[in-house]
Order: sequence, then C-alpha cells, then structure tokens
Amino acid sequence: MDSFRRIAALRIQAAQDRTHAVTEEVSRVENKVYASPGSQTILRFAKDAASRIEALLETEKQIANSSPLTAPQLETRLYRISRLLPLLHELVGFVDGSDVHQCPSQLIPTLRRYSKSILPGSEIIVSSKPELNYSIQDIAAPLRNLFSGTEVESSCALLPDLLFVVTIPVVESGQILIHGVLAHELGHAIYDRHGIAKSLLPMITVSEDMVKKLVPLMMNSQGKGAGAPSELGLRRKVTEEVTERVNGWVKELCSDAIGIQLFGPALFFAATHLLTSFSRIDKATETHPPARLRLRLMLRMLKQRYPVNEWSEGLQSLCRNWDEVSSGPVSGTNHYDQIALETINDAVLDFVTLASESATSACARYDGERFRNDIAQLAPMFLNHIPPGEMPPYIGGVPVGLASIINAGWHVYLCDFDKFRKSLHPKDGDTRFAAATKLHELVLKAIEISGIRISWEEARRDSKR
Amino acid sequence: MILSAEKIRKLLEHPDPNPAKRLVISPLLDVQKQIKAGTASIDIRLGQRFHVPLRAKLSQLDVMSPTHQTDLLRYKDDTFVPIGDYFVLHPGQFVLGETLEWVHLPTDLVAFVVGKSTWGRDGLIIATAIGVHPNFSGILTLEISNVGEIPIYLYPGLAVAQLFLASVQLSTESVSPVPSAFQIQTAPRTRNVDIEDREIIEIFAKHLKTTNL
Repeated sequence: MDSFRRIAALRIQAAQDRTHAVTEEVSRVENKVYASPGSQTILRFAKDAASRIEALLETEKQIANSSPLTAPQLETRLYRISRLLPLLHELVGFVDGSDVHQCPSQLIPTLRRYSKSILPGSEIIVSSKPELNYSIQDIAAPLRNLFSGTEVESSCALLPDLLFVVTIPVVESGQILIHGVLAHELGHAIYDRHGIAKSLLPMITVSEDMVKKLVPLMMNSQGKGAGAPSELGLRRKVTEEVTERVNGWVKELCSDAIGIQLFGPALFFAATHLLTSFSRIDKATETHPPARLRLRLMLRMLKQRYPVNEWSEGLQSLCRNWDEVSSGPVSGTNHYDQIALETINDAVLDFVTLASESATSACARYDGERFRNDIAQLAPMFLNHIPPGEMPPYIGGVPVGLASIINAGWHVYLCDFDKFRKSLHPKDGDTRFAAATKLHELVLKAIEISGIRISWEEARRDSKR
Repeated sequence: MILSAEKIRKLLEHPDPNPAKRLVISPLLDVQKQIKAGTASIDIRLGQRFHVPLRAKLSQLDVMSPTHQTDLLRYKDDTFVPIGDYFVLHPGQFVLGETLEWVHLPTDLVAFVVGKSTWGRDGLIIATAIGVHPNFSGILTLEISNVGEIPIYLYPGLAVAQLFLASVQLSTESVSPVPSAFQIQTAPRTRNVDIEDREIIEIFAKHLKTTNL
C-alpha cells in the first residue's frame, strides 16, 4: 500500500508537470499577435483550466498522503482530473498557425463578421496547418461536455457559444480565391446548428432491394466456411455501412449547397480548382462523396438559380464542360459506395437544395443579380489594379461584401486573366503563377479595405453611444 | 498645377465611370480631418504592416553584391500591427511602413508624399519616394526613421503624411504607360535592384581594370 501511495505521489507530480508545461507554453505564445481574438480566448481558457487542474492535483497529493483511501479509489480520483490534461495540450495546438504571420490576416476580421452574421454568438479562429485540406470544428460544445461536472467546469464561462476552428493549408494561405471553399465549411457549421440532419436524413431511404442484391454476392465471395457471417448479419452490416456513407455524404452535399447559397458561383469555381487538383474525380471515402457528385449538385443549383446562359462565353464554356463531366456516371470503388451513390439520386439532391435554402436567410444568400452587378462593377476595378473594397464615391463609400469580392476576383481569373497579366509589370506577369499571386493580393487587399471601412463605422457608432 | 483640397474632394466624390481614369484614395476614414478646406493636400494614414531589416543578419547594403536582392528579402521581419495596437520605433531605427490607403492615380495626375511636420517635430522622419507617377496603383511605402532620442509609438490609422496632387500636362501623342515595378504593392517592399544600372557600373569597373587607370 505504501508503494502505491508513493507511486501515486509521483504520478501526481508528473501530472502537475504536464499542467505546468501548458501554462509555460501559453505564456510563451500569448504575446503573439493573433488575427482573431478567439485564439486568445482559447489560450485564456487553457491557462485557467491548467491552473485549476494544478490546484486540484495539489489537493489530491495531500489526500493520497493522509487519507485512508484504497488504491482503486485513489486511482479513480486521480484519473478524473488527469484525463483532462491531453485536452489542454490539444487546445494549445489549435492556436498554432493562427497568428498574423501565418494566416491571411486581411481576411479574418471580415470572415469573423460574416460568420457572426450567419451564426450569431459565434467566434472564429483561422489556423494554417500543413495539410492540403480545409476543415471546421466547433470546439466550444465538446469542451463544455467534457468539462461538465468536473471541478474545472467554471473555466467554460470564458468560451463563446460557438468557437469554430477553421483550418486552411499553410502554403496556400494567400490563395484567397481558393479560400472560397470556406463557404462549404461554414455550411457545415450551419448544418449542425440548424439540426438539418434531423429533418433531412429521414427523407432518404437506402433501398432494401439493393442491399438484398448485394448480400448474396458478398456471401459468395467470402465463402461459406464455419466463421462466415450469416445472411442476416451481412445484411445488417451492409445497411450500416451504406447508411453511414449516406449520412456523411448528405452532410457534405448539404454543406456544399449551403455554401452555394452563401457564396454563389465562387464556391463552385474554388471547388473545381481544389477538389479535382489532387484527387481522382470519383474517389469517395466513408465521410466524403466523390467530387463528381459534389460538383454535379453545385452546378445543378447554379443552373437553377443563376442565368448561366447569359454569362460571358468563358464562364458558359467552363460550365458546359463541367456539366458534361459531372453528369457522367460515377463509378463507386466498392459495393457500399455504389449503393450510396444510387441512393443519393436527383430527388435527394432536390431535398438537399431545399434544406440549404431553408437554413439560410434571404439576405445572407448570394444571387444572380448580385453576381451580374459584381461582374459589371467590381471586375473592371480589378483589371485597373483597384481593389474593390468599397464602392465609389470614395467619400462615404459603401463597403463591398466578402462574397462579392471573391466572385468578382474569380471572374477576372477565369475570363480576363490574360488581360490582367498583360497589364502587370513584366516581372509580376512573368509567369502565370506570379500574375495569379498579384490577383490574389488585390482580392485580399479589397477584403482588408472593406473590413477596415466596416470596423471604422462600427467603432464610430459605438463611440457615439 | 497643384490641386486644391476642394478639387481632390470633388474627384473622390464624383469618380470617373472609367476606373482607369479614376483618382482612388481608399479607405478614407474621416474625410473632414483628412481633407481640410483651404489646403492643397489630403492626409494619409499609417497602415498596419512594417518591414524591419534584420540588423543581426545584414552586414551591408551593397547593390553591387549578387546576393543583395535575396538578402533584403530573406533578412527581414514583416510585422503586422492591427489598428488599435502600436509599433515602437526606437531612436536611430529605420523601418518601412505603408499607407492605410490604396492610391490609384489616373494618367493626368501625379502625387508627392510628404511627412507631416507635427511628427517631424517629434523626430519622426517619413521620407518617401516622394514622387508618385501617373497610373500608379498600390499602397505607398513609407520610409520611417526616428532621428530623435526618445522611442516613438506608431499607431496604425494615425495621419502621418500628406499627399499633394498635381495635374500632368499630357502630350498629344498617345503612349501606353509602362507599369511601375511597385505597381499593385499591397505591403511595404524593399528596393528592386536595377539590373541595368548595375551593369553600367560593372562595365565601368571592368574598363578601369583593363586600362589600368
């Protein structure tokens, strides 16, 4: 028993070292300049929780030394506290890559404001990570759940209602046009917040017939040995696998649909440039549908909501080509994928579109009229090297919205890029990539100007109150 | 002819429908303070980015050195200071800053940037490239140095310089403007080594060596 107590004391000390490391790390990074106040919120939370855990461990040390608790009782008490330690380490990791040098600081104020407008009570942190991937994750709710009922619960008061950590690829942090896919990530947040799964998924049924047809095939391929699963067991497994895929894929598709509602064609353009640049067009995973299906839905929505036939020839031709490619048959790589693909038919895509519409307010939606105006007014400004952050007149100018700036930028990239490139200094227009970088910089500058203009108006209003 | 504050205001209030012919100074946060009646300039504000050369790594600034340009790009610290925060400029320190405003000049206007004398009295010198040519479009890089003896806090958003605008007498021949090397600069940039200029010096140096003068 004595050795258990001695070991318990050592373990508590080791756990205290872990908390101390968190506190030290927070002190090291808290003076960095972060693009979003959300990063500081996380650091404050981690520091506060670490100090509470350290104090609790100190109490445990005394209990371990003096009380007549049994070994299992001590083990339980200790675990109840120490299990929170890996979470604190993970939390500090979320902040990594979110300082102004590593993420597009021009974008963040505007993106924060945008996310607050569609998801009231939310805060957003954009963090650049090494993966070529975009993601979004609300960490406030899971933290509240994990810390609920523990002695550290009160630290959760520091958290906002929703705290989204959005990751973007670090080496592409300046590629603002590709960041149009953030509309899809915001779509995820809206999908969860509005509980769309609850209303949408019951409308989609996996065909029993397709499952029934697959099971004998699987039984034949697996043989009929002693350890082979029964027909009923296989049927259950197939249904589970397919349902998991359908649920995950519908979530992704609905997030795409919401993204199209929010950002319009810019999401489609960004998705066509990102999704298919490093992956096979028909590749699916358990959570993500094939890019071909996603692009089919997006293009379908654009054709329903935008006068695509009136767009410039360049855009029309792009859409025609993608239409042909995306409407082609998707070849599933396995039987589960194939059934999921057959389940998500045109009727399901209609449900998804409707769900996305009901989840977004009319004023948050980008539409054909705005796209037409943005192309007419903002795109020529880009071509003349003027970032369209505000609409003239420049005295009392009106700030331009995020979606408008990105859509106009895409239009220049897709339809007038050669003209833009030729207008640059020979060094800047030397390569296609260098010229594109200049365009990205202009788009980011426009977003920055728009953000400064809005922040200034807000600050002025606040000071008058 | 130098434009009056009223004329500048008019050009910004009624921009030309053709963006190429527009005078753009954006964003203007407080027009009343930036364009003062009866003057002949517009105040411009300090932006959020600073380019600080790393003294510990740069042993010299020698345009003839083949690594000059890469050294300038490599040994620097680009600092972003959001509006509301500050940057401390120590005595003797030199940094590149930027204007908050984007400036676009049409073909018939030229601009001159001059530091505000109020800051000069604190020891802050905001020398700039001074002349901004017609058709320029970008933020203006400000060469900021503290020649006083006391550290100065620089707050992005403060009016630190003024822009004088003058009209350009255009020739009747139509010319296609050559874009500036600093066109569409969105952050303070160091100099570009002029290769042709360097070549002239190299030719001279070679000539001196061979003629043994």
